[in-house]
Amino acid sequence: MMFSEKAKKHADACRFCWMCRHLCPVQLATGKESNTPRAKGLQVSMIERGYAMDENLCENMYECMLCGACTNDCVTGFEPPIYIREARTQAVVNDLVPGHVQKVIDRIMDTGCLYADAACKVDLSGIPETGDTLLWLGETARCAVPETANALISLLKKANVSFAVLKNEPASGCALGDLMGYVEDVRQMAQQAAQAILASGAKQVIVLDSYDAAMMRHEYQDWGIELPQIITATAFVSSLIEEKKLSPKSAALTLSYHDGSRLARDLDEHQPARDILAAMGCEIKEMFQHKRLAKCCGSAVAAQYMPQIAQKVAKGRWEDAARTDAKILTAACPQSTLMLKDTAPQGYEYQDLFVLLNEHT
Amino acid sequence: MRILVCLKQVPDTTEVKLSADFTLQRDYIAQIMNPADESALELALQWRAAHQGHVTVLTMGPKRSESMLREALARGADQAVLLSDPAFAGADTLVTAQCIQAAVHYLGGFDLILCGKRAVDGETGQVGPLLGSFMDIPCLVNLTRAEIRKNAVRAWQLTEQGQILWETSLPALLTLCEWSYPLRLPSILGLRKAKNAPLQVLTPHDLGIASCGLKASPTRVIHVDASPAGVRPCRMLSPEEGLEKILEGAKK
Repeated sequence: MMFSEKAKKHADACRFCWMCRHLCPVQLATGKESNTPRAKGLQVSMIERGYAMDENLCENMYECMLCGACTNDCVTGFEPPIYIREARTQAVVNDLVPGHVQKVIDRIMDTGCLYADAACKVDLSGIPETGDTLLWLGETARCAVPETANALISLLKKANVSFAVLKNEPASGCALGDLMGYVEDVRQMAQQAAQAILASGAKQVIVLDSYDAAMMRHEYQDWGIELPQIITATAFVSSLIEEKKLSPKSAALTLSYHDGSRLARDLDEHQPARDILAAMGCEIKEMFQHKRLAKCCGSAVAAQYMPQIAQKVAKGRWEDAARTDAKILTAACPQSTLMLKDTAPQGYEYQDLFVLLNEHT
Repeated sequence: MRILVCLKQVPDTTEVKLSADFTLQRDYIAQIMNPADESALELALQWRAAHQGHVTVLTMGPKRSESMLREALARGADQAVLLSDPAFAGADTLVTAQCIQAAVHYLGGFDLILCGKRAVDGETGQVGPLLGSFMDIPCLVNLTRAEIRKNAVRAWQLTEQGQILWETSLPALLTLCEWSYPLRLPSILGLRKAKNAPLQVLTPHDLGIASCGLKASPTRVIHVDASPAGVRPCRMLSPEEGLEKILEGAKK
């Protein structure tokens, strides 16, 4: 088996303290011991010592959100997402990908999109495709939660920001990277996305989906793919408020804010969304696991190949929110909106951050 | 066009322990492909795509180096050769270059030999130029860019003052700077091919080398000092003390 030395080192670094089992959203949702990050590390070590990789083991490697909660809290600095991604690569190489996952991989390979040929549902009329500032929406916002994208576009117009949006925005490669690991096939997809961005003439890119933003900031850079400046939508909108280009009215809501895992951990961004909520006069009731400790609520990719587990993970996040006094939960990433908007328990309500701000501006 | 890329597996850390004989203890640290060698491999793969040809990767090292060679195959190399035998252990730069020279002859020669400008563990930058010298072919070092024009190579050498543009005929040896050509990732197809690809292992006996390794190496490391990282021999002075020191210095 061709695991990198780095992956092997991380798989063997576990000291079996088991703290990650209290943090892993998938382990908490499924209760399966094999879903602890330490168990996945043990399985990679077993493969390296001659245990045959089989479909059950591969299935288990796909029961992970790659959210990085385990890495964030690990005393040994052990990073399970490194070897879990590589295990997924090995599953693809050895034709051991579970059928329900393979369908999603095939769909992305065939159509270039997680949602196949689904048309963009965002209203892009009158928006140019070239300009200094490019708004990158991401496939989930375009196809599954257009309300988030429409709200952000409305906010930019209210702030008189001149911006462009690509009508046929290619995929960033982050969904395929989560499913197949970081292989050349994914880098090529990233390269095509970067070429489309550069062709727009953009000097800065406002990225709505935090999965795309994290990949553009980190992996694109590691792979030598040049891009203009990448700014998260939350950071950009927060700066518009600070510069008085947007003046929100008071919403005076008591709510809890969910930090998306890639925004909070991969991008280390916690404050801009809180500043936006503060500008609306909202009181935030923080969940115990917030900011870098945030618990994942599922992802668009996971919702495609393991919808039941993804829903359980989202419900787990709602249970965290219910332990605060807030009856409203908000988040700033389209993938969080996708997972949380339809899983709210009775008596609770989900509000997308950009939709909420747009309604109060 | 036949291209050879010389690779080295190096520790993925700056904190490497030394053995009693001042050789590096490599067993407890994850090993990676030397960053400058990545540039050499990527350039070779780009040239193969543009000009047709065959890319061979070669390394000298223990059996664990096989993983790096398979990784190079997964990224697109056509053939991998491992010089591996306990007799090679501890070779200095001179003996390493002699062993690679013997391997080049054994493999039938190459139009181009590409190396990294230096390895991040030893930092000598000697193996490439030594190999070029032993083979009596033109050697261009510290390159950030290179192009093939008909039967010649144009290459841009990085210097402290700027860049020098060189042109040379083939065969030639080039050493590349790290990050000049970011290496592509392994593809799924490449990984499938590399999994069971044959790997040629050569020993000193195969290469007709009578003596090699530490015993044949003239270099002896007598002593190694750790650099005092983070320690700067400076003292904070008040403005009055500072003025006094300046005046003292002016008098001298």
